[in-house]
Amino acid sequence: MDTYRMIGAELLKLRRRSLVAWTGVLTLGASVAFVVFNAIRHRADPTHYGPAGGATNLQHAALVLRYLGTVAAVLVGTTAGGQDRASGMFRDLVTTGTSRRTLFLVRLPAALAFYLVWFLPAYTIAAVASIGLAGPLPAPHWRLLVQFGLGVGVSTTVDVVLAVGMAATLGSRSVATGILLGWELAFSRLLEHVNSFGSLRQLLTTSAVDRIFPALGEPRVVPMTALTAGLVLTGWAVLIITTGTWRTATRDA
Amino acid sequence: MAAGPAARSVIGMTDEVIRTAGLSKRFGRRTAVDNVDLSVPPGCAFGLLGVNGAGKTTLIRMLLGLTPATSGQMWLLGLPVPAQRAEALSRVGAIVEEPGFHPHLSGRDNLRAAAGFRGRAATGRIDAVLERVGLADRADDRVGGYSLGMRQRLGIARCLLNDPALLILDEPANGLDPAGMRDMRALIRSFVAEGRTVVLSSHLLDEVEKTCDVAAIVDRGRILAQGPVRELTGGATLEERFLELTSQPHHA
Repeated sequence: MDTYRMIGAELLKLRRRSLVAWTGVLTLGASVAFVVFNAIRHRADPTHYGPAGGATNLQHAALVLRYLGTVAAVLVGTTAGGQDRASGMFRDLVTTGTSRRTLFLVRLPAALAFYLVWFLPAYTIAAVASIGLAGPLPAPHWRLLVQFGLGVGVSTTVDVVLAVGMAATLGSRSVATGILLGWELAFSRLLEHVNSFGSLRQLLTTSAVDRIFPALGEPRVVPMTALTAGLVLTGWAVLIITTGTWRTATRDA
Repeated sequence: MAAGPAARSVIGMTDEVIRTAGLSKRFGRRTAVDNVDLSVPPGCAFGLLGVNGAGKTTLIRMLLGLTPATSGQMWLLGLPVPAQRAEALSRVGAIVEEPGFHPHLSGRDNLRAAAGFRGRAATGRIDAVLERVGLADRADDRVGGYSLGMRQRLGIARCLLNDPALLILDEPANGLDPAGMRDMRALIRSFVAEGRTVVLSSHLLDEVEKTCDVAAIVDRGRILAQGPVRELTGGATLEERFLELTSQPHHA
């Protein structure tokens, strides 16, 4: 069976009006709004508000994209991972004889492709604005542009993978969305600050993502090496892909 | 649409399209399918007749790999399942319970998505199967706006994408009005005329009697009788025969 055709079919299924709209608003829309807002503010009152470009604004744009991108990534991932079961299509797919493992795995590249189509131009706008609208400020070095891009890109694409796997594991898109958003945006952040957990906090995806972001002189809440951060993110991704595959293979269709 | 290579049975004319031996399914202490020996000959419309909860759908779900069997053996198109299920299912089209679709997509896009999992030739059949089930003029409407009858027909269209030798339809007349039931009957008979085998489950005695050549009466997870409908009734009506068989107590 042609894997690309299956991925194409999964992409087609993601073409929900609401999903397209929310993903667009939370990524591209957020990036454009951030740049436009800062540019207007600077133009209206340049003495109080600096130029819309520069390294600091790039960092802020990356943070906006990281948090809103997480929401978009979770929405995309849980839709890809859970919509077949919710619509009753999973039964039909199983009766085609395609292995259930394949049915799960083809959702991952489809969800990632759908998300990246929105994320990449969103970050490009932030990056271009940080140079083009820097004014008298020094434009960010290309290495910083890549580091922030990788930071936001890796953190949110890991969220896509976690969401696909979580929705397939739980068999419910809405429950997976609630759990992941609660974990990524609130609970995990609280645990990061519980010092008594010590180095166990390195296992949190949010701590690992913080490590791969350029710090720009700010101290990190949970110190760890870049290698550890990479291993933590990879470990979570592998774990959730394994459980998603297992659950897809074993559940009654 | 002419029956293609897949519709020309891969098994010999004397072989069964479906065969089960001692097939059982238990959910905890409840036995849904009990030691079933089923034999479906090729090129006919075969009815699985039984009341709701008799075990028809569970039997179908096991054949299609939707749920594992507790014990027993199964063959689909002469191939043992689950060992060669993927190969067998590539020549099978099935609707189990109500056909599921993505309501936000059009009928055509739902078929495009389904074709992605059914081999390259399936995409080229989309227009033909839509035409075949009478949905060509509504193919670009969102499925969310389809009536139940239209969804059933779209489900049949999806079954036809891989040009199947065997169609398994679980309660295909459910929720259809009399005209819809007549159309469904005609569609099923046309598949048989092309050399395909159609297995349908139903609790509607009249529907099975009008549509099927061969039938099995299922009750409390067991096959009570199976054979050509004319022989099964033995001069009585199918209703009389059904009530006679299902009113008898079962023995272990």
